[in-house]
Amino acid sequence: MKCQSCQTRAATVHFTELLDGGLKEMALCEECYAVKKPAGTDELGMLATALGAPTAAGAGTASVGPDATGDAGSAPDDPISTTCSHCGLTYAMFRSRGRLGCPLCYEAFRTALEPLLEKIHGGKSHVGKTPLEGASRDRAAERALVALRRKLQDAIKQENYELAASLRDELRRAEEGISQSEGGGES
Amino acid sequence: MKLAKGFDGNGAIGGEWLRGTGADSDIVISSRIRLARNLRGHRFGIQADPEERAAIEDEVRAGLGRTAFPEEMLYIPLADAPPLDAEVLVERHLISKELARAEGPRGVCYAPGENVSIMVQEEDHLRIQVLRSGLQLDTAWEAADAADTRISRHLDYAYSARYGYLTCCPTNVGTGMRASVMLHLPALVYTKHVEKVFQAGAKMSLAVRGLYGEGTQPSSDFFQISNQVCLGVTETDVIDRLQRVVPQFIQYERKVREALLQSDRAALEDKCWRAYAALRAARTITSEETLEMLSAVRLGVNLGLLPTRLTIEIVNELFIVSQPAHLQRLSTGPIDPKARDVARATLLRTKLGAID
Repeated sequence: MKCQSCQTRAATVHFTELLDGGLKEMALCEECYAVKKPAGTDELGMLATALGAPTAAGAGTASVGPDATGDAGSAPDDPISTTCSHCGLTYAMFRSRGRLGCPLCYEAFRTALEPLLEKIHGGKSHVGKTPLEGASRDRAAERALVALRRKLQDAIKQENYELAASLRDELRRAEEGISQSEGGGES
Repeated sequence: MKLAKGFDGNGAIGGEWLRGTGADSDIVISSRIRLARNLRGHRFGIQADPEERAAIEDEVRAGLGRTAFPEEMLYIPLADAPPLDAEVLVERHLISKELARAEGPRGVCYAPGENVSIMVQEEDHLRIQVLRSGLQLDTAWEAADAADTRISRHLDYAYSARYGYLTCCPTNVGTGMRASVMLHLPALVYTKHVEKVFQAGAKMSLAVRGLYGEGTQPSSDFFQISNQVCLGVTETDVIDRLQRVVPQFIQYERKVREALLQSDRAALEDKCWRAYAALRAARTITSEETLEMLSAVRLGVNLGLLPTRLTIEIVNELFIVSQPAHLQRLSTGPIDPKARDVARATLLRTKLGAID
């Protein structure tokens, strides 16, 4: 089956969108799905999430705890045994209390945390405020990255998918560049 | 920043946010913005040992001390402050119950006007909180944003370009912002329509909580509505959404109030006047009954059914000062619940008698 959006690539994702109060089902390729999936900002997308519609954002609003993390526990690389080398917290401990041990836990448990964050927030990455200046760090690169993400969100909102696609490529390059200095607590 | 050993609230009648001056303050009591922030290179409080917790408090306190706030702030190290003072701070909405009842190094830094407070070592290393009267989430955000930026010049926040501000609980990661409004919805509760507010909130990914009540069954006419999403949204997205949704609840409450006035004015007047009379005459009164009566009086004041010398500011203040820790402070020694109910009735009679 061909993707119903671009009409060229093969459809691999079954996507449900809430439009004007009705559900619209579409078969999409990975590329078009990445552009179309709700970023958690538009009200209809949020509503669909809240109603438990099968969107990319997952069903319902989640609370953190043993139940909310259920899926993450059965991920292929078994994050249960992962330990944060900075603070000593195990992923199993996080699952039982729902609280992380230090800022670096976000990197240590990244594989397991990402689906959980998407379930809770609908979004996967930060588009909000960036510290203007750190007491000891240059935040310029981080600021640029977050600004790029915001542009991408706007392009998707305006259904300017061509611009969105090029912004996504730019964003991917920028993220790769910054991931070296990522982590939030190497001091 | 001045250091204080405890909370000296004598003479102060409560935060500026109680004045009832903001937009729609007949229904919206207050707007609040809370920002969760942590220091780079430290464990979160839950995982830190006592030495690290002490080091975090020192570091945050020093950073706050160097920060140029628009007014001189006060700092209370809560580990050494009398527990009753901490409870008074909770009742004045300056700190959370969790911070008051925790142990070890922790504190609060607040502005004398009581509309800005920074909790140190609650769940996160810092929780910056701004309160405003009425529906003013936008100005509350501006103030919180400004305070946060000032503080960030002196403290190195844990922040990642991917996840934003890194917080102890993953529900706060991203903006670290919780925006909330406290609503007074007596007509919707009275006509059993309030469930619809809960349903509408849930559909918009907004959390609706009964205030003062426990769990999902609210025991009063007060509700808090807040955002649940922090990642993948900007702060202004969240605030715009709330500023769009909350007026719909306000209109709904107003419409039902109007309908009640038209269909059975006598019954509504009776309810408000009886509540006013009870508060002016009671010799002993529980906090639950006080809350219920004050809610009816507040409704009566807003509908112009009660004497005009009784203002929203006075009613708002009574909510705060009739709570247990405030009453305990007025007494010279320990006070049991029975004596507290008598003290509460005396306070209400005195305060309401003074406006005649």
